[in-house]
Amino acid sequence: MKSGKLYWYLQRFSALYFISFLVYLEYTFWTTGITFQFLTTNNLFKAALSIFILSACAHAFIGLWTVGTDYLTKRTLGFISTNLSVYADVLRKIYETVFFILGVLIATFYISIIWF
Amino acid sequence: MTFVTFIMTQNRPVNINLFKIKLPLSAFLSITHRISGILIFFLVLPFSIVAYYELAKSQSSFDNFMSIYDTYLGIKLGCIFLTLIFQYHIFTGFRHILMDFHIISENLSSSYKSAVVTLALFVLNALLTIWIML
Repeated sequence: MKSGKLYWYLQRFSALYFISFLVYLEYTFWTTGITFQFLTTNNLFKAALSIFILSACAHAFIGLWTVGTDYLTKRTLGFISTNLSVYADVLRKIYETVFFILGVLIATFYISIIWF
Repeated sequence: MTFVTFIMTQNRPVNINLFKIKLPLSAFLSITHRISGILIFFLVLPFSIVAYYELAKSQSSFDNFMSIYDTYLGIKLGCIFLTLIFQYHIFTGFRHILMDFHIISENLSSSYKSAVVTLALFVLNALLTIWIML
């Protein structure tokens, strides 16, 4: 499978996972209720939340990359200012670095809070 | 006169300026889906870390968070707003998935209809969410 196709499917199937995770959370909320015990001792929830966070970051990387390559380009920035459009590639690289670092931080914080 | 200089010397109207295009409803849903996605990553996820940290730290911290949530209307409204951004992304995203897998056919009329249905479902769901969370 070509990597572009892989990313495309990864984003769609992670989205389907988010919906099922939310249905599970909603079901728990209405049946047993979200309590402190549930958050800290239920291993099924902790595993499901970990997968949710990791796939959310992957989903976000693909989505934000798409947004960046759509709008932070010479052509699109040229609508605002031609002087700005010269730096389009640099700006996009900075933007990609920022969201990548933020995504890694979010995943690290979440996983460490969930399990430690 | 070359073609390029011909194009550049003509004072023809250029209507590809994004700020001058009136959006159809389906395009409005598409762009707001992207904006809500950006907001989720840069706003909802970082704030949810703080909330989850407080909720999972200890029983007293859990109770403290809940009492703060009930006491300060601003925090409550902020949480509701962040939840609604998240739900909006889920609803419009589900419509995109149905289109990607050709369950909703990709033509103007079904695109418009599905956009209306998505918005209606989102508004219903938003009212329900606000009623539960308030």
